[in-house]
Amino acid sequence: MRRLLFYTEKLKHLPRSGWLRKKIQTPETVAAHSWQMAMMAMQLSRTMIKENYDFDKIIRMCLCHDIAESLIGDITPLEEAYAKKQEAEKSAINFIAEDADIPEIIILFREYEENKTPEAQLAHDLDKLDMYAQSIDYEKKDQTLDLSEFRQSAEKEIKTPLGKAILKDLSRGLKA
Amino acid sequence: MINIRIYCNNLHREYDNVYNIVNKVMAENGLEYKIWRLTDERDMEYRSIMFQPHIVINNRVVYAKACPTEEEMWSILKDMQLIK
Repeated sequence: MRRLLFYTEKLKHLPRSGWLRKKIQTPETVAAHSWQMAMMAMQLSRTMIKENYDFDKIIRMCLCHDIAESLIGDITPLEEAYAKKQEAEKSAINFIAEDADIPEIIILFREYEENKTPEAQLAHDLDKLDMYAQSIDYEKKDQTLDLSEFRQSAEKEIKTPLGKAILKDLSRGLKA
Repeated sequence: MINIRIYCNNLHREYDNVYNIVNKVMAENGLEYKIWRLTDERDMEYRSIMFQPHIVINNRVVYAKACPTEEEMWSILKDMQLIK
């Protein structure tokens, strides 16, 4: 347990790079982002019982999907290091899973990265949806901010019908 | 001789940046120095180094958690009275 906590503790203090780039005061951490995604999945597990997803797996996937960033940091698509991010993440995940003795992390991470199963695809959408919702929240707190680029990016990348329905719901928050 | 230890694993996004900035600022000031790049995660855990990159100059921790800018490196060297 101590080994696992060594890595997860780092994520509680690692700010998300996209918000740092936009000079957000006290940006959310990677851990907060993963938690929020897991909470969204938990909510869906109650309300979307007719949908044929393994929500338990999605929740665990959300909690693990960024754990590699405890070793490599949060690399955004705008950075040079992004080209090598996948390779770096694979090495980091293998190291953490072995070190913390949680082989499940590798299985969940690979499934998330391959993005082929319905659970992985929905988890990817939740990743973008959380970013979308967070951008609205930041703009409400500081009306000088323009974070529309994050929402535009999310809108392009959300693929599942359920993800698109949630996006429509969240976009009402823009007009509020 | 100024001894600089940079603790940062070689997968980290700032691994190259932090070395390049430290090396550049030290060289620009014409200082005599040596940089050690420590990458072993287990060693960092043993030393309770939670956040990387982590920069130590002459056994004093001067920066942790992110990559310093050049201006910040200049400021660090001035605070340590290594430059005027």
